[in-house]
Amino acid sequence: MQPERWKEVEHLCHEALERDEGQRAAFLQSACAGDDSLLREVQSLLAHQKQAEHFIETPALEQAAMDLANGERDSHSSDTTPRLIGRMISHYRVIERLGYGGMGEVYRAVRADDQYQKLVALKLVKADFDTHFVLERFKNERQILASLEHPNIARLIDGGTTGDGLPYFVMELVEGQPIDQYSESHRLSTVERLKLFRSVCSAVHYAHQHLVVHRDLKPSNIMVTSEGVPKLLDFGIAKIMDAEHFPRAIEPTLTAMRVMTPEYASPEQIRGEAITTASDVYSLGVLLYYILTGHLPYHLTTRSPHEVARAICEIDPEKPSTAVNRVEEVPGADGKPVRLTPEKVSSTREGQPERLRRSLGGDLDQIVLLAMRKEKDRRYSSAEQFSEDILRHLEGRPVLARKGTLSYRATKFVKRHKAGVIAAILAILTLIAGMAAIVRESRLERAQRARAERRFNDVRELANSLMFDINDSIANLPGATAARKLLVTKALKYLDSLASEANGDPSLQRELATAYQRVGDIQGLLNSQQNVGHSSDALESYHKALTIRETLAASSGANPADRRDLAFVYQRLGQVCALLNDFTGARENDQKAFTIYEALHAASPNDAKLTLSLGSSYYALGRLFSLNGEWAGAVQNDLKAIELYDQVSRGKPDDSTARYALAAGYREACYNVGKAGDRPKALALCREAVGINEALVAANPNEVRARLDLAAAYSDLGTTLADGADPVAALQIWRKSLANAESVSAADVNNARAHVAQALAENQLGLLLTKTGQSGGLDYELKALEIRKKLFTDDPKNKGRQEAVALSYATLGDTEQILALRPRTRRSQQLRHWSQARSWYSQASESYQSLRSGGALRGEEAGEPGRIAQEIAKCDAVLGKKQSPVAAARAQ
Amino acid sequence: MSTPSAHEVTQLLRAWSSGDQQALDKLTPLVYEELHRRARYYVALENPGHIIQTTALINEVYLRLVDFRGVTWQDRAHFLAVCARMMRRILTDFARSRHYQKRGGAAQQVTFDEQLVVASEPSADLVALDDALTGLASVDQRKCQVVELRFFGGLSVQETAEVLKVSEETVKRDWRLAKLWLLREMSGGEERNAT
Repeated sequence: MQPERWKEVEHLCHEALERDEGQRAAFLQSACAGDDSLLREVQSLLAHQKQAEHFIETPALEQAAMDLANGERDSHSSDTTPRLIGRMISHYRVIERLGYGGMGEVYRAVRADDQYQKLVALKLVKADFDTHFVLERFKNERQILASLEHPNIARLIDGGTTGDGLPYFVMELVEGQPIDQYSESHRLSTVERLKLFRSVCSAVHYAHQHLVVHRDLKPSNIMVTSEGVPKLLDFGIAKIMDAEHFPRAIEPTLTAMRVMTPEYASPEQIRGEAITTASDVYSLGVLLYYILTGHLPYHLTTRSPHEVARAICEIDPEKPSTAVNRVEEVPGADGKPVRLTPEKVSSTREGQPERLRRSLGGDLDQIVLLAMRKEKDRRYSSAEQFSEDILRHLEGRPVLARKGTLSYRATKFVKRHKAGVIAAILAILTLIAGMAAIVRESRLERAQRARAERRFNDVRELANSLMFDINDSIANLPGATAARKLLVTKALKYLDSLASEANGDPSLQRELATAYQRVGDIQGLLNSQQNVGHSSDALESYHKALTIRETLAASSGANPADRRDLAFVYQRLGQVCALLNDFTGARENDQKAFTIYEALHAASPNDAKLTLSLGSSYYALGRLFSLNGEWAGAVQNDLKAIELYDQVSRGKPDDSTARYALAAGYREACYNVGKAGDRPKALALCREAVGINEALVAANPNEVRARLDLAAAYSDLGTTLADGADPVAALQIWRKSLANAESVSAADVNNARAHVAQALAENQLGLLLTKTGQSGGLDYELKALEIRKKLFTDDPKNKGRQEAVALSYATLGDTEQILALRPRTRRSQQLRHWSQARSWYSQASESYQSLRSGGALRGEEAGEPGRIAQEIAKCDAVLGKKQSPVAAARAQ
Repeated sequence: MSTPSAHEVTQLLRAWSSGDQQALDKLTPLVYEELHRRARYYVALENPGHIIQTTALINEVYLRLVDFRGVTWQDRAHFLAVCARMMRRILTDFARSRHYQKRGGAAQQVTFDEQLVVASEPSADLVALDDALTGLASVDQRKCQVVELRFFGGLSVQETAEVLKVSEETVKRDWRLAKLWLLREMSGGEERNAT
């Protein structure tokens, strides 16, 4: 044939094979377009398609060896039979042969000296086996096997050697049908099959309790008597007859090869690993699958041993309820192929395919698949547990099999989390706690490394989702802070345990660092919406992240993203140091972050994210100048930040991140410009911020951050107005600020930032009311004091909170003084106000004292203690008291 | 004759592939021994249809027979091809010498276990196959090699693709068509278009 012609034939064959059988003829007719010889050539090849499926799929050497084996077996079995019938083996007279196979032959025999002429099954082991080994093994196992007394287990009665030295076993004779055939011929319903199967489970469990593993459970080993009682044959025989021990045994290089009934063999058996009770549970799963559906679990196109092995070890079986839809040809009991269809398998079960599918879907699918898990520790822990789950299904109770999966739990979580955040998180945490424990345990065993790694990844994934998905999904849900606290505590535990395993895995280290940062954010940053107010804990988490990031950025494989991430941690550290009044630390960290960002931004000036980051670096530095009372330096940095934020905001008008940042820049600038004395400019800047923040709230009225930022904008405007001697306008603005803060703190009692904002607004509002001659100011201030005291108790290392308490005391003192000095106030009342004022001032003084001794009294407020001392002296003068030496000393 | 060492086997294979026919005579007993080892293994089982192994059988055989340390990586492809050809020669001769005939149908059921879980494939008549394969080589040399490597050499699709330096997809397509061609050839009497 011409090569071109052959190419054409080949091409058409492939094309035709890709089409459904019904369409091939039509396709070829049109493709050959009248070229009859071409058509005949292609058709004559395609005619062999069916045969080709199984043709030469087994390698030649193996095929030749099998044929050779069959020839030997045939000659062997045909000449032994006549010799034994009628003969005595020990006390047993051989009556007839029941069957034979590679392992040996089975005879019906009778105990000749027995009064009752009891019939038994006598299993004669072939000479090919290592007789000595089998006998030794039998002696060891005999006691145990003979002690197995269970109504569903065929008893091992005796064993020994024949006169020819061949080992034999004598067993209880069970006359009946294999369980699969019995179920078919009796047309058992699904429920009846399940009940029958539970008896099998009880026998297997009983044997397991006696430390006997069957190792070869399959329908032909489970006979059902005419009374419907299943009996398990050959318990423990597989162990005695271990395939490794036959003559001239396979060499060590071939130990990976194992012999068994592959469809029922567990993955560990296929791999030649240790066989345990879990292996029997797997085989029971396959058995149930087969009995319920009429199909074996793996839908194989060829039946080559390699494919079966691969399927068992790697492929997840389809659900039983799906398997019943299969149409396939399988070898029947008589060796002839049988065509299975949904109608055929249903006819001996539930009648109609739909009914069968419904009876299997849901519980039974999951029960069968749970028993058949590839990893043995993920299966039912025992045959009994397996059986009990079936019972639960029969009784309509929820089954274990449907609770176990991660996705099941996760789905449930997502569904529930809006209703009960804490409950849902607890559920997830319980789950992870279990998994983390498994990771630790399994790490100890080398053989289970693969499993450990899988679990490890599960934990990693969950820890991540805990910190990211779950936290994010509840971020704006009011009432979520308590849940978040819990989340943080638990997540940290897992992260710490993961960290000890993370060496040498950069991607895991990056994940860990990010997770620690997230924990830090949640723990303490005031401007993080999700903070739970524990700055010092946050510091610790950020340091953990920093250690990892520094190593990553310094490593040879570092990329710009690693440097950017490092800068980010420095920045976070800077922020939290500032919160803790560690200004030296804050400046160091902020400066480091700035240096990195500046370099990265210079390299890619159009990177919006980097531009925002650099802006935030300027902002942070500005804040430090401000805290130090260096207004000019602060303003310079703020304006730089505003410029960068504005740039991004204009480029991406819909990006709220840039808008939030820009507003924050304006607020900061407003404050600093105001302090520097330029009130009109400060007012203009505030109004810019208020405009942006109002728009953000309008766009996202339920967003916590939008409301709190607006509250902050109002408070800056209020302060500026009050300083500018417009207390009436200021009052209005403070009320608005309070309303926004309160809306958040009322919904989420644990949101620290909302409470800080609320306290500030109440304090200022109170003072302004009093100053403008109105009543009710004191009440606001007392409420503010209560909030601030609580905030400080929650986070005792947070100097800002301590200072806020001091400020509240001072404001209360000021207010009492104003009240004392109000016209038409009675003398006695005046004295009470003075006395109150003095008391507040002295508490303020103590607070400041403690702050100062802690080295944390920032520039702007540095003058306050001095003022308080003067106020105290004033009060004392009015009250006619002499200064006590102690108070005098404190006032210095 | 004493059993050649793995190193000697390697030398013998080299010699044979460069035309030394006597080298094959020395290799034959090794393959026979392996064949009988396998057969004994199967005989010892209850049911030959129940056989399974997870490692590629032929590769194990090669590893045992051949000292691959003496073979460079580049040579490996060539070497596997030589091994496959050796298997084809020896096994076909073996079949011929035993008057090995096509059996047809599934392996006889020999167990008291009622079920034959994994059906044995119908055995291919190795002698007829060898002839058909020679015919295939004249039409399409590469398809003949694919069959030689996969069936006689026991190589996987991937390994075959590596040896022939073609894609796995090509190997699969060749395999599919070669089987059809061989079956048609072996079915004899059927009409053939001898264009």
